[in-house]
Parts: sequence; structure tokens; C-alpha cells
Amino acid sequence: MTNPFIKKIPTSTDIKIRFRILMFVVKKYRTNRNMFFLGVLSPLISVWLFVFLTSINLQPDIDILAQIRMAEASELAKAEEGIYHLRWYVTEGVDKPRLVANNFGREINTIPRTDVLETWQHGDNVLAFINSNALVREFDVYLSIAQDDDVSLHHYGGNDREVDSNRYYYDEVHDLSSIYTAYTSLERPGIPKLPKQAEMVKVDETNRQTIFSFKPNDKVIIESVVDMETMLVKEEIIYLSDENNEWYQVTRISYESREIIPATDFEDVFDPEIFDYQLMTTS
Amino acid sequence: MKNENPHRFSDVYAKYKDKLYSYVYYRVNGDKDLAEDIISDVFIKTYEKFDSYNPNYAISTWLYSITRNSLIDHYRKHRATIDIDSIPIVAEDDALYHILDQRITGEQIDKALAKLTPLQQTCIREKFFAGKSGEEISQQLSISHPSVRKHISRGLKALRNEFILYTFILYLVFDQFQTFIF
Repeated sequence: MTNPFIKKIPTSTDIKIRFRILMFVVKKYRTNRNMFFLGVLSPLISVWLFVFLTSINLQPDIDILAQIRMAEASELAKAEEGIYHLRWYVTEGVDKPRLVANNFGREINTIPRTDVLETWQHGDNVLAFINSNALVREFDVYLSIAQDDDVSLHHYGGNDREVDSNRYYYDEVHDLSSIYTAYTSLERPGIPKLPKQAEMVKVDETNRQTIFSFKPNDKVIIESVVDMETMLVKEEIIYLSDENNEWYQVTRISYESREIIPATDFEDVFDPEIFDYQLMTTS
Repeated sequence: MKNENPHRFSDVYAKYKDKLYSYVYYRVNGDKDLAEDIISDVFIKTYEKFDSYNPNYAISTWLYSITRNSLIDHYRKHRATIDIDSIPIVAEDDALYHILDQRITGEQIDKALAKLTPLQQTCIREKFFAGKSGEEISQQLSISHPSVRKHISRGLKALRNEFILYTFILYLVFDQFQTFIF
């Protein structure tokens, strides 16, 4: 993903240059023996830090972030030209039953919830198919369609499924639907991006991914997993803390099947006639 | 009186070592040992002169001028042993350096290359991506060595112009759409 004209400097050359700079500094200070003994420690420590600690690992951090921002900008530019299509899975994290138990003072069992979304977006026009295994609405379709400077939201889908009543406690702690409200309202959703303030946690070479972390407030941490091939966010993991500052993994969002559909397919994708939609609201 | 350099040498080194190495490597026709010697000198000079950097100019421009002068010094010293035809044009308006200084991906390069003439595309791909010398490319394409250099030089200029436009558009787009779903 980097500029293919750029060749990586050989590690041996890199080390030689750093060593030559170190020798240069030593030689400079040796010209004045008193200066050498009195003032050499601080510059030598600085150079030592430069030679050994600003290692070869610092550069990839900068490169990786730059590559991610480039990949995002490129995807954004493409998405602006076409219809951005995404399939994503929103599931409950491994610690959610424990958080529910702590919150309500007893163990509460229920089926784990998974929401599968398929979304298309082009400007103000948004189409979302939502399949959930734990909502009264088993299958929902939301269509935001722009016409004459006005955006209207339509909905299609039943609401007569029986759901385990214990699901209430889980949704009360963290409702998966809150992740995608932009797709079920008149809001204009963005594309999944690494938050600006996210900090790199580690590069996982084995799985070809890089982990970032972002703390929007004292109670929430969002971990972003960036795929090293596409340099785009492929997964987000949300952690919440309780009053004892214990952290719980509550929600996982996995983004799959990203694609850009040509804008010429607009009429086929955002077709208000496909379903028996009901108008919900208008901006 | 020395100027206050707003940059840290270690940051500058980390950010530019690959770009400057690549620039020198291509300018000495892929001679790794020579590139290594010259780039070492470049960074020693950069370190020596670091406090005299004028912050009114971009750091990349300053580094470029040090690198370019080191290359010219090298050619001056070895004039007797270097074939004058093999010396690349170290012009003020250096398209190669502009391209190295861009944040661009392989996909963007491919798109930009597709706008060049077939000969320019081939010469650039063979020289920069396949690592072939000008002589090898001239034999492969059955054209003269100066022709190869001409195609590369014109191709690089066209690419540079393409990326200047792209960077400007990207800046506008990137600056305006900083939304996130949360």
C-alpha cells in the first residue's frame, strides 16, 4: 500500500548511519577534553536513545497510520462516486453476561443476540437490511431517500416475534441497535473509520492486523482492528467499565464484504417500490 | 546566531530515510554500495547543519537540496571515471523527488501510469519496479539509451503533475469528511 517508488533503506545501512552519527558526536566532543568529560553525558545519552530506541519499529507506526488514512481517504473518495455497500455483524461480547449479572445482582441467561446488517449508502440515500435473532422485528428494511431537497425515511418489516423476556436486561446494559441508529433514522451515516484519537496498541503480524485503542470517555474503550492488507478497520470491540472500574467486553462489530457499486445502479438499489414500505418521517 | 529548528532530528531521520535513500539509489543507477555511502554523507551533513535549517522552507525541500548537492559533489569528484552519458539530470525541478515525497499507493500509481504513453509506462515500470538499468531497457525495447532516459524523464514529469492534482483533491475530500459512525 505504500508508494511503490520508495525502497526501504537496508537495515545494515540504517545502523551504519546511526553509528556514524554517534561517532561524529563523540569526535566533536573529544576536541575539547574538558567539554568531553563535563558535557558528553547528556548528548551521548540523547544519541544513544536515538541510535537504539528510535528503532526501526518507530517508522512502521508512522507508516501504518499514514497508510490507514490514505486507504480511508481513497475508500471515501470512491464511496462518494458510487454506492457504498457493506455487510456487518454486531454481536455481544464475551463479558456481557457477567456485566448483566453484576448490574442486576443475579445471573440471567438468555440467547446471545446477533444483528446482521447489509447497508447501501450514496449521499443522503441509505438502505439498510437488518436481521436480528433477538428483536420483535425479525427482519427490517429502512430506506432513506432524498428527493427535492427533502429526505424521507421508510420502513418495512413485521414486529410480531416472541422474544425471551430476559433479553431486556442485556439490551438495557448495552443495546446493539444503538450502534447503527444512523441507518434507521434520517441521520447520514459515515463509513467505518479509525477514530482520529485512536492509539496503536500492537501490530499482530501473525494475523496480519494492527490493534488500536480509543477511549471516548472514562467508561468506554473502543478497540479497532485494522486489516493489514486493506488497511481498513475490519472489527471494533467495545468495552464498558462498571463503578469499580472493572472492564467488560460488551459488543463486537465486524465489517465484511465492502464494495463500491457503480452509481448508475442507483435506481435498482434505492427502489421505493421493492417493498411495501411505510413512511416513518420526513426531514 | 543559530535558528531554532522546530523538528527533531530523530523524527526527520525516521520519516525521510527511505525516501532519500530511494532517491539516491535511483540517481546512482541502482548501485547499492554507492547509494549507501552517499546517503550516509547526506545524513551526517543534515545532522551537522540541523541548527542552521531555516524553518521558512519545508524540511523536505531542505533535505532535497542537501541530497542533490551531495550527488553533484560525487559526480564532480568522479568525473574522470564516470561516463558523462550515465549521469542523470539533477535538475532543479526534480519530478522523481516529488513522486517519492507523495503518499500514494500502488493502485494510484497504476491509474496514473495508465495515462502515460505505452513506452513511458514500460520504461518506468522496468526501471523503478523491475530494477533494470537503462542499458537493459534499451536492449529490451530496441531503442537508444538516451531515448529510454527521455521516456523516463517525461513519464516522471507527467506522473508528478498527476499526483499534485490528486493530492490537492485528496486534501479537500479528506478535510471535509471526517465523520465516524459513533
